[in-house]
Amino acid sequence: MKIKVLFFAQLREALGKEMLWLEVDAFCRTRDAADQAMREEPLMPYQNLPLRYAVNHEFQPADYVLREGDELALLSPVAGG
Amino acid sequence: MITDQPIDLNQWLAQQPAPGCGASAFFVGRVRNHHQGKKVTRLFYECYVPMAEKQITAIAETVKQKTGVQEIRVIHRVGWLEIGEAAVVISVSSAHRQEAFAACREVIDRIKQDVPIWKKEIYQDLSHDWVACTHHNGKALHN
Repeated sequence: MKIKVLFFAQLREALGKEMLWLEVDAFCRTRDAADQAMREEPLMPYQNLPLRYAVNHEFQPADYVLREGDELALLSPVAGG
Repeated sequence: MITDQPIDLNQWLAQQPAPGCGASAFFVGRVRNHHQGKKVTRLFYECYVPMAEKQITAIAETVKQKTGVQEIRVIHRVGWLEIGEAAVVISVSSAHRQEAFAACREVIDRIKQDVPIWKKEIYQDLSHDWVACTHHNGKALHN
């Protein structure tokens, strides 16, 4: 199934884009989809960057089961405020 | 509550809360000219806007319920900011001051933890860094 993966900050800069479509297995979990997305070559230097996951604008844990068309955001450490 | 325009602080101070509110507390977060010993010249805020707005709304609701304050308003500016400019403004209004102060502090603490906004600092030597907010009452940064 296809999901949308969003990148921000240092990940977006390294990848050169904000979003890519990812083909994942049905019942794929957030961490597995993130691992797959993070295998893009420009993201190699960031393998140890701690990430939080959001699906359709809500934080979700690593074992959340994704559905077709979900928007998965890979959130590197935030610094708002 | 997310804007790319300069924040009008006079307008924020002038806002009238509901008549039952005897206290208003404000927080203004500005761009500082230093970070961990380095001179900062400007910075860039990036934002995952739809999620940031949802999170800020949820934070305001949670803190209202927890503290009993009547009104919480938040605005966060994104894009390029210069030293001294206001990046975030929070106003809290309540019947009495104790809960207004407490709620104001809790809102900014929660924003720093849970809102998808990132900050890139540009330093005097032209290097730059995406800053992680690592200090959160001892709470771990990530799951």
